[in-house]
Amino acid sequence: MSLSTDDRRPARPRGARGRTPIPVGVLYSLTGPYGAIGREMLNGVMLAVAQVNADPAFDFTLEPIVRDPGGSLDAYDDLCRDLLHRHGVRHVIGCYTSVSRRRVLPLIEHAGALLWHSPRYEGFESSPNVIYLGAAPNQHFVPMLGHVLEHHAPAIYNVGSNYVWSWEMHRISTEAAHAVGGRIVGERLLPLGETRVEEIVDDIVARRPAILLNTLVGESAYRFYEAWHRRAARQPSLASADLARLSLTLCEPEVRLVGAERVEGYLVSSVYFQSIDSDANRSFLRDYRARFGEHASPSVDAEAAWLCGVFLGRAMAACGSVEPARVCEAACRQSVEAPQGTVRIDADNNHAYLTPRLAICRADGQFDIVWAARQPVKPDPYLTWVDFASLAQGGRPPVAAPGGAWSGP
Amino acid sequence: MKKAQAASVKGLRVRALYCEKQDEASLAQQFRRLGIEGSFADALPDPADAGRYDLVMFDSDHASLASHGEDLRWPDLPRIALIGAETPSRLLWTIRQGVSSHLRKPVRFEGVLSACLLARDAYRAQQAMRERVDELEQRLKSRRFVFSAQLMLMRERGLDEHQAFSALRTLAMQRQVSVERLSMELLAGRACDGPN
Repeated sequence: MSLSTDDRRPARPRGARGRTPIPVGVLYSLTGPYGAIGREMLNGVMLAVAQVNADPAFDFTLEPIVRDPGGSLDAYDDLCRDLLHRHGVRHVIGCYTSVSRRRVLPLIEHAGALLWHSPRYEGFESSPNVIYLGAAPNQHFVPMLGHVLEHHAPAIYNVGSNYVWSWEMHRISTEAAHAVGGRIVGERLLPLGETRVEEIVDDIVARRPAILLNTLVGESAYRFYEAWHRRAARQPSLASADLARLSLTLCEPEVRLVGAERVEGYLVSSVYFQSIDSDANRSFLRDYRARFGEHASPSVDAEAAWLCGVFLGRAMAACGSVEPARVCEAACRQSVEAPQGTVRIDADNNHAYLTPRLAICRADGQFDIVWAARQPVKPDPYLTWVDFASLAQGGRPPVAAPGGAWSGP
Repeated sequence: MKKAQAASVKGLRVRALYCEKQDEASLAQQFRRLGIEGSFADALPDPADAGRYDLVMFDSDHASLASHGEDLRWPDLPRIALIGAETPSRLLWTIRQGVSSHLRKPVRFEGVLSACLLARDAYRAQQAMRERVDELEQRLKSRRFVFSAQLMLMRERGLDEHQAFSALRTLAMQRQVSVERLSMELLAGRACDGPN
C-alpha cells in the first residue's frame, strides 16, 4: 500500500528499496528522575519500529527522531515544537507524566498532530489529538478495588506522593470505601522525592488498616518498601496476606531494582506482566531480549510503547496516509494481538480496550497472576459507568476464564 | 444610584499564585493589555495584606498549594482557579477553596477578562447575599423580642395584636431604629416614654 501525499509533510526522497521514510517524533525522558522508565518505553517503540521496517508489507519505514527532555517541562515544550515545526513530524510517541502530556498537548493540537501516549494515567481527558494506549483507572484500579473489597474489610490507608496521580487514586479508593460502608483509616501524601518514611510506617501500623494502598513513586516508594520490610522482620503480620498491600505501579524491572524480598506479597494491578502465558507474549519477550539483551526485562510500559509503534505503523498502512485525522480513524479499525491479549482503540474516546490483571509479587521478582478479565475492558476515562456500591458484590469484570493457565513463564 | 459598572478591569489588583512559567508569561502580557496591576507569588498573601489586592488567582494543580487536609487561609477576596487536571480529586479540592471563576490551563490571552469580570461579579453577589442572610438571621433571632413587646403592649395598654405592632413600628420610625431594636429596649425598660 502506498502513502498518499495529502499530508502537509514536504516530499521526501524514497529510502532503500523504494520505501518512503516517515519521520516519527519520540519524546521520552531518557535521563532525569524517571529516565529508566523512559529508556524502557523507548525500547518498546524501537522494537515496533524495527518490526515495521523489517516487514516488506509496509511500503514505508518509520524513522524515529528521538528527543530526551530529561524530565524538564520546558524541554518538553521546546523539543516538541522542534519535532513538529522543524522536522515536520505529524506523529509523536511520548510523555510519561501527566504534567508533561498537558504541557505538549496544546502544541500537538495546534499543529493538528497526533500524540501516541503509552503510560497508564488517572483519566479524565480525551483529546482528539491523542491515542491513549495506557490503562484508564477503570482498567487497572477499579478491578483491583473490587477484588480487595471482596476479600478484606473496607478499612483503607492511602499513602502516596503528593501529585495528581495519587490524589486521584486516593479519591477513588475513598469513594469506593464509603460506597461499601467502609472508611479511610489514614491518608498521607509525601512531597515527590521525600525519603523520610519511618513515621508514616509507624502511623500505618498504629491505625491497623486491612488494606494499604501505596501510590508512592520513585525514591519515596523505594524507601517505604525498605522501611516496611525492616518493620515486618520484627512484626511478621505486616507481611502477611491479612493486610492487602496494593500497588498500581510495581513492575518487573522495578522489583529487580528494589529487591523482590521487599515487595514480595504486594498485590499489583496491570494489563501486562511478563508471566502472561501466551504465544504473543512469548514471542514479544523473545524479540525484546534478542534486541536489548538476554537480561532485558520489559514491563507494562515497554509493552504499551510497543503498541504505540505497532498501531501507528498499521494505521498508516491501512489508510495510506500520514495525515493524523485519517491515521486516527484507521487506528480505531485495527485490532492487535498483543502480549496482553487483543487490543483495539475505542473511537468513542481514543483510549484502548485492555485486559486488566491482578498479580502477587513473588520472591523471584516475577508475578503470579491471580485474576484476569475474561476479555478486554472498554476504556471509561471519566469513570462514568463504574458503580462503586456494587464493586464488592462482583461488580468488577468477571474472573479469569476456566482453564486459563496463569502460571509463570 | 451608582451606574452599572463598565466591563473594565483597569486598575484591578490581581495576585496570581503558584503559576507555571508559561501561564505567568501569558497572564503578565494580558494583564498589561487590560491595565490590570498583576503580581505573582509562590505564597498566600498574609491576611494583613489582603487590602493590597482585589482578586486572587491560583494554579489548582500546584502540589504545595494542594496539600490535602490542610485548610488554606484565603484572604477575603474573589478567587480564580487556573485548572489543569480535570480529575474529580482536583475539582473537588478547587470547589472547597470557594472559587468565583476559573481559567483553563495553559492560560491564553482569551478568557482572562471574562474570568476576572465574572469572578468579581459573582463574588460581590455572593457577598451581598451573605450580608443579607446575616441580617435576616439577626432579625429572626430578635423576632421573639418583638413578640414579647407586642404581648406587653396588648396586656398593659389593652391593644389588639395589630394595634400593638403598629405602635411599635411607629415608635421605631420616630426613633429611627428597627422594630427589633425598639422591642428589645422596651423590654429592657429603657423606653420609658412608651407609646401612648
